[in-house]
Order: sequence, then structure tokens, then C-alpha cells
Amino acid sequence: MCGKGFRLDHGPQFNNAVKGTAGLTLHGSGDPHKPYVAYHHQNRGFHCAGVTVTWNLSTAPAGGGGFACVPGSHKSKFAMPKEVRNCDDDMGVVVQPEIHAGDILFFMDGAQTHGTHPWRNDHQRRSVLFKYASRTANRGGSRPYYKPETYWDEEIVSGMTPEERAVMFGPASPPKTQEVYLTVDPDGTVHLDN
Amino acid sequence: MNDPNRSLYTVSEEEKYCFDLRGYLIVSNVLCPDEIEACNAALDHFSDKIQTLEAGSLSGGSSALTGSFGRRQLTGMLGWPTPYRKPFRQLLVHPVVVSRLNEFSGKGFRLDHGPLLIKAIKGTEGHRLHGAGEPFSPVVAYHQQNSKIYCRGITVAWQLADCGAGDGGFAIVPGSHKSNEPTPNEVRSVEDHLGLVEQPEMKAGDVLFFAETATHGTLPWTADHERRSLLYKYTSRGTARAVGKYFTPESRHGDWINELPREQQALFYGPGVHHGGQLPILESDGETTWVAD
Repeated sequence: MCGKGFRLDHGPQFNNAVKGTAGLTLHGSGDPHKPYVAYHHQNRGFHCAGVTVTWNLSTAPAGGGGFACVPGSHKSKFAMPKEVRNCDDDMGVVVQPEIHAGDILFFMDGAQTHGTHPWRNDHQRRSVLFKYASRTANRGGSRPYYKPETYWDEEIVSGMTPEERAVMFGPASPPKTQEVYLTVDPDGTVHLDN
Repeated sequence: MNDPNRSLYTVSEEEKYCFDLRGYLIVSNVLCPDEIEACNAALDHFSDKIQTLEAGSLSGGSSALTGSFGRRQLTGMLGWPTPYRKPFRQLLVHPVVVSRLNEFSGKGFRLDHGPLLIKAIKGTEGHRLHGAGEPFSPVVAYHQQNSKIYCRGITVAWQLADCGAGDGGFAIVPGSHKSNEPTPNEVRSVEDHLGLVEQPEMKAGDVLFFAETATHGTLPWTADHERRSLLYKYTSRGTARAVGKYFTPESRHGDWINELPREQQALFYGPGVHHGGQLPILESDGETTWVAD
């Protein structure tokens, strides 16, 4: 799915829920395209930049809640309707697959629309998620190493302006910090995109 | 594309069309003579650091690319002492670059590696063409969707000397970033390129943007003057070509990682493909997992 040389970007992460635990708004989609988790198929070869592997340690029966997704959404070229995202009117496209303890789930993280339904079972939800990436893709797992002063040798980035420094951050999925985003005024002035 | 009334710092619809269609774009007359001279003077100051590659190392045995001399190259400009590094840091975030890369690679684009000066004297060999749409290469892949370009790998090549028609230098197969068929060997070697290979004419001060996934390389240099092209290798935000300082599992996670078997350690290497063969590759037969020899 990811190609040889795939790597663990982050995790494992334990997802635990008791009866009454709220769901998680659906997220991820084929549009807008996100290169760091994108799916591509060409000449009988898969190229999936981000795959989450979920080991299920308890059963999620049909209608019981837990992992939910929009099958096929990794190829969608249209924006996801808000009502699908919050499951208020999911148009019948959202599926909560029945999964048994001991089953393993692979899903396209980020490229595919997915989330969680409220947990309705008397027993706990117990899932362990490993977030894998293809060799060159990055999500949040590389953030500890991505500051310019960490990623490059000191003399390369020493004394740089904030604008120069912005393009020297290492690879990682788009962070919330504005330090990495630049914009250009019509007169050619380059500055951080605050 | 070179409408004098249009700002250099905005991307026109015509530029987007050309980049998407051909996989490269030239923006002309970006640097003034003083800016070109500042770069060339700094490069001349560090001329003793220039590395000359062995002849034959890049032409790959091609009769069409062979030459008497190897390529000359130099790196490290961003870390040079002041004032020598200044012109190269200015180019790093030049408004013509930022405006185009925000559009072509997305906001948050980053310098993956470089800058790299490529020099050539008359008789210098070419560089076998490399890159292609097939096989798909995730690290530099090109994608267009809903009027938006997503180019994971773009090289920005500042021209510090003229490159006339027939002089040699940068060459490309326009449109090849979208190809779904393998590149014929004779096209890569340029020995029978089917009329597909183009060597664009550029002037000193022009800047070239090209998609790294396009099939590209270098033709032998035939001009009397030196070729001088300065390459900055950018990627989109979440993409890594170079491996950075923190690549090995131990450097990223500490000593505890050494307690894991090799098969598990293999998953904890950092991102990137320029690892010089030090990345363990996992194999599995469905029952056992092992590190390939």
C-alpha cells in the first residue's frame, strides 16, 4: 500500500471508550488534495502516503459505534458536505464496519473521510492505532526534528530573517504555526503570512 | 507570459497553464546585472572549493552526452560568511520564487537541499536524463485537481550566464511529468530522443522552475563561455527527499531503540530517499518478516 521503505510516522495510540463516549467529527477527504497523505493508483500499483493500522482489542458490533468512514472518499474530487462531516445527514454514505477483537483494520488516514461514532456498547472500545507513512511522506511525527536550527547545520541558518527561516523547516504536515508560511505583496515584499 | 505591464510577483493564468502543460516555466529578466554580478563574484571568491566530477560519471555511456570534462559544482552558499552568503539567501525567498511555489507546491513549501552551483566549460559532458511520470515517484509526484497544482518537488534554477539555443545545458521532455508509460532508454541517453527533448534558451538573470518528476538532464556544453546555473531544490511541506540530520532510529528516539530487533528498528528511520543505501528494507512471506540483504 505504501511501498517498500514505509515508516512509522507516529503512534502507537490507544483509543479507549466507555458507553456514552462522544464520537469524533469525520475528517480527511480526497479534496482538497493533501500530498502528505494522498492516494494514487497507476499501472496496477498502489501509492498511499498515509495508512493507519488499527489493532482491535475488543469487538465493535454493527451499530455499536467506533470507527466510521465514507468508503471511496479517498478518490473524491468534491468537498465533503458539512452534514456528512458531522453525521447529521450522512446521505447514507457513512459506514461503521463491524469489527471483532483480533481483527486488524487498514485505512487511508487523511485521504479518506473517517471518524468515530458514539460508543453505545456496555464493554469498552479498545483500539491501538499505528500511523504509517510512505518513505518520503511526513505527518506530525517529524515535528520534533523540524525546526530549522535542529534540521540544518548551525552555519546554514544562523542569522536568517524570519522569511528565510520559513523555508528551512524540515518536513512535516502543515503545522498551525505561521512561521512556515510566506506570502508576497504586489510590490514584491515577502513576509510571513500572518 | 512576459507582458511588461504585469507584476513579476503574481502568477498569471498563462504561467499556470504552461507549467501544468510542460512541467517547466521560465520567468525572464528577474535579476539585474548587479545582482548577477554579486552572485558570480561570491562564487568566484570560493572557486577553490569547486568540485570537478569525473568525466563519464553523469553521461552514463551515452554517445550523445559524452564529453571531455566532468561537471563542476559547488554547495554551501547559505552558510558562507557575510557578505558572501547574502545574495544566495536573497534568492532563497525571492518574491518571484515565493509567489510561484505558493501556487505550484502550496504554502509552507520548503528547501529540501541546495543551493547547488552547476558549472561547465566547453566540452563538458551531459547528464543522462532522469525522472519520469512512470514509475510513479511519490517524492516528487505531480498532481492537478480542481484548478490547483500540487507539485511535490520543484527545482528553481537561477541562470547566472546565458544559455543559448544549441549551447547545451538543461534539457527536458516537456509534458513527461504526466506520462504513464516508461521512458525509452534511447530518450534517456538522448541517442534517439524521438524529437522529444528540448533545450530551452535562457539568459543570465532568468529563472527556471521545473518539476523534478519531469524527465530532464543536461546536454553537453558547447559554448565558449562558462555555464553557470544555481539550483535550489524545494519540496511541498510534508515531503522529504534529503534525510536531514535526524535520520537513524537512535538519533530520533534515543538508546532504547537499540533494544528492538532490526526488523522493528527499520520502521523508525526518518523520512527521505537520499539515504545512501543505509535504509533497511523489510520483506515478508506472510509468516516471517526480515530485513533484506
